[in-house]
Amino acid sequence: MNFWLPLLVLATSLVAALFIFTLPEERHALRGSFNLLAAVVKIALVGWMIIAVANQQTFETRFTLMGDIDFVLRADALSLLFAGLSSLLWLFTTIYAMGYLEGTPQRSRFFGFFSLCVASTMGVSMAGNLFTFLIFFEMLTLSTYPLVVHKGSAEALRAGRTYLFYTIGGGVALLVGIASLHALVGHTEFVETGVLRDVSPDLYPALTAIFVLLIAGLGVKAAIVPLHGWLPAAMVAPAPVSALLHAVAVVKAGAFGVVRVIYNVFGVEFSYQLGVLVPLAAVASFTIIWGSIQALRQSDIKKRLAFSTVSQVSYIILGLSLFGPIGTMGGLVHLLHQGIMKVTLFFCAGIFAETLGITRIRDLNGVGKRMPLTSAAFTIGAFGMIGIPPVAGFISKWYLGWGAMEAGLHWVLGVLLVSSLLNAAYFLPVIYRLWFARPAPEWPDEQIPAGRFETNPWLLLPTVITAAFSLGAGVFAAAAWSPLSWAELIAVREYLS
Amino acid sequence: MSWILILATLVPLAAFLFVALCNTPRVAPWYAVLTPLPALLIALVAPDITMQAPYILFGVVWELDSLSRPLLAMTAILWLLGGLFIRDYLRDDPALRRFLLFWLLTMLGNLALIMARDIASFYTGFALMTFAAYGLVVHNASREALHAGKVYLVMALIGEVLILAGFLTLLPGLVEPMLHYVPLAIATESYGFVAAALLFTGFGVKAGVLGLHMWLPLAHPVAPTPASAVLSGAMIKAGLLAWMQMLPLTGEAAELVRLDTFAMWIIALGLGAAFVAGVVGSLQDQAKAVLAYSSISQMGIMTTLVGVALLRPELTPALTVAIVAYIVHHGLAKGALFLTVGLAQHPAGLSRVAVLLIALLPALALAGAPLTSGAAAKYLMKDGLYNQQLDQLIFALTLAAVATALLMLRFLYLLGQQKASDKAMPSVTLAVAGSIIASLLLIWWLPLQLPFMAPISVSALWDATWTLGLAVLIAGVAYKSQSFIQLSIPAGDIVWPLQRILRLIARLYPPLRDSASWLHQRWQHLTLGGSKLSLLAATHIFSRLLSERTLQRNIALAAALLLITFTLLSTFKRGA
Repeated sequence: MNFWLPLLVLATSLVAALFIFTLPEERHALRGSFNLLAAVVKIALVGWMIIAVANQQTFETRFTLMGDIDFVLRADALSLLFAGLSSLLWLFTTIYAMGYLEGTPQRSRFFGFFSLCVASTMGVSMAGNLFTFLIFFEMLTLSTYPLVVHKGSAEALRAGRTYLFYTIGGGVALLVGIASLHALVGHTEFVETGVLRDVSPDLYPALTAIFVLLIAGLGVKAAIVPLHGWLPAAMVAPAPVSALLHAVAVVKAGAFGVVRVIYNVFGVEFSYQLGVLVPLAAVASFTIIWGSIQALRQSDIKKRLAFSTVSQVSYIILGLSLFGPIGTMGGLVHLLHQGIMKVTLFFCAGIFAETLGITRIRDLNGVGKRMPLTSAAFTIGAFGMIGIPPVAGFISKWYLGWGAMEAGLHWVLGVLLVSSLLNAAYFLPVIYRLWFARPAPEWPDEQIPAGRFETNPWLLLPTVITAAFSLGAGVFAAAAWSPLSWAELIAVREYLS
Repeated sequence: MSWILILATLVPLAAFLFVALCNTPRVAPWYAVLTPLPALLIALVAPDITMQAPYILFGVVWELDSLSRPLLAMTAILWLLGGLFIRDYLRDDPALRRFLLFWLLTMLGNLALIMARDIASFYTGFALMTFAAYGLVVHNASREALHAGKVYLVMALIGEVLILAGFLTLLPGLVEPMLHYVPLAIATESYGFVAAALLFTGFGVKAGVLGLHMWLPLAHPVAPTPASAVLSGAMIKAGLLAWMQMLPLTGEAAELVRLDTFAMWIIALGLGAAFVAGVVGSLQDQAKAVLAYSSISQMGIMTTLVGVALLRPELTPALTVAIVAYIVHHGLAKGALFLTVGLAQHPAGLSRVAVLLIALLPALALAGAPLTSGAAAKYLMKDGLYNQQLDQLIFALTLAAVATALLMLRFLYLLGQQKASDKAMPSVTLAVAGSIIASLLLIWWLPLQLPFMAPISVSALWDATWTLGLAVLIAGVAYKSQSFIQLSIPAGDIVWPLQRILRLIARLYPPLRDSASWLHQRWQHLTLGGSKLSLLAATHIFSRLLSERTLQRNIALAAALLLITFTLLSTFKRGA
């Protein structure tokens, strides 16, 4: 069982993808139920693994590919952090996408690649060495491209081209980095405290260069400035894709890769010795501030959220570069918190666009009266981004600030506080418009009139649930199965073993 | 048993959800009246208890003790009376539901933070109260209300960020995220003083400390009267409560650190607020603005007491009792005064003189007239300071009573000029009556060990007389000379020059932005050329990547060049 379980988790979405590709376009019910069934089965399997790993069990799938390079899928505490987030959010995004794309063409193609995308994410999370990681990382790029260009318009194709340019370039950098590492020190697997501790000091400069290369390759997906240009352009994709790309699959895969490199390849102590952590913190800090400043200048809702993502994902990287368990906890827990909160915000943006035709912030006047639940969900997500308790974002900021003080990098505290103010500057006006401004006499394009629910219940339900999770993750942060407790588990295992 | 503490906040939360989710066209304002009742009953009747919820936030601890009980009672009474006021005052307001929602949320935060003894739930209650109150301030949606709301929100955000900075600075030295460990962390951490200053300033925004006070006189006149009452009566005390629990005023923390300069600054700010607000407030044209400045002045006096406690930790026990008594006294008296403004607008048969006489009662209490709660509070205050070589301070505090009396005279004068309408509002009259009775009686319920007759000792009577006399004299001179001396300071005082300065700075933005985009153009040309060059170099090096000896160097070089290429190309936007 320990051999098959990681493979099974992958298989649920791979099989779903193959099946959905072959389904005729008009078999909606069958496609929908198969999608949901696969998602639920996946959550069950991941949940089983989480409970087992908490009890010190291990799961590993291993095939030898060539020479000393193995294909390894391993489920440890860190992989299950990401896998749990992905599988849970995949379920909600599937429900949302079914509602969002109702009546649009090419849904089989969409959901097929959707499932492939999630399969790649699962592979990324459970990869046991850099090589396996790379395989699924590139598979992620290729399976998300059709989703970005789904609409087929000229703008979408252009955005897709930009997306490919960036991500394949990043993939090349990653490949060169991995190959160089292999040439230098031989084959490496992900070990809890890193494998490079005992290399000779002659290799330090080369290792530093490789570190930079790896982070750059991963940093494209993780939207580090100046490698973030694809993210705002990719907003042309449908809202479920933006939610998936920006909360789960692509950006988190990049950030997750950074976690793996720092903690499980180089090892955090060695990285600290090498002196790469502080520059990484500086780059992340710059991204945080730059992303927030750019967000202020946007008038389109999704573009503003895109730059907010650029800024927020770098919180994760900042946390990872703060030496010490507290900083690590801050970075890891923000991976989960930011995922849930951002997916809520993008769900709301999609609902605004679908129901009332609103894509610009200035058209949001008075929407709170027309769609109170959606606006409330948006408010919760936005407050979380700003870091106001008790929403989950406050918990992350608390641990990030604490980690910064423990690591002796006091200037990071300033970065956190300035970015909180900037976040408030670009989220509070939106909330003001929602609840306090008088609405225009007519909505830009009211497609779903207010019936029993304010909008399509397939769109509303996932949004409300993820908003509740954002609130719950903060309020119940000290509970046994909260994201914070899981991050603590990982940090303890990383620093103490 | 200890779970009853959660009822104080669970009931407002349930009411909030009910009002939010219920789609009835008319929403009954009874929610506003009844929801603070559990909190009041708990404060009056329940024994000292501690409630713990270790799985919430970072581990939540709520306590009903000698500090939280009086504050909870006063706060609950104010919210209750305000709710009663709302019933008729906002009966015909089309946005009543929205007002009620913000009212309930603010109440929730206010009640929670009083009982909170852990940092996370205190900060949560504080943040909830602060942000929900925005909805109360901008309720009228007039130009002044929106402006006041903006100033309020900006100051609130600055305060929140400073508070967070203060907490985060202390975290390495904080044993547990509990409020009672904060003074110890301040005393032992190397950055303890910085944290203390950050926390003082951050909470000082809420408390109306001089220099951070400008939102108060803007917010009070524009908010609906019941909102102003709870804002001045209950909410600004939250800052004071935070200081009392977080600064090293007592115990081991006070023994480990001396923050004398800091304490002197606090005393200076407090006394400055007491007098400056007194002067500026007496020049106001709106009754509620005068009351706002009076709140700043009174909070200044309480700030001074906190400073003295910091300077002389041996006085802290006596001063804490005095501060608590002062908070209860001021909260109820100020609340009553705000509510009388509503009574003056809807007198329901009472004559102008009757309304003024009714308002005179809490005004006298605030000014410290004999037998009032003010006299009791002032007695306790001076009692804690006597025979401590602080005679100048005692004199300054006595003199501050002149400022208070002056403000009250100005307020009563403006109250007499309020336009009265014919609409009958019985709940308004009821609320005012309740608030006056509460302000006269509640302080005697506190376990103060105060002999009833002490405040009418000879010295207290003499102090009350000469301060009141001096105030009447100044008021008379000002009244007589108003034809040839026209002094006017707009409400919000320093906010106006500050805004002008900020607008001047903002005018620098367009030229900066234009030069930035010019630079960006040049950069794009540079990067395109540079990336072509480095790509050539990288391919050249790769083609020589054969010799084992230079393998590592070549790897590093090629990698660096690839990276440069890619980075440069990424910053170059291809006609996005």
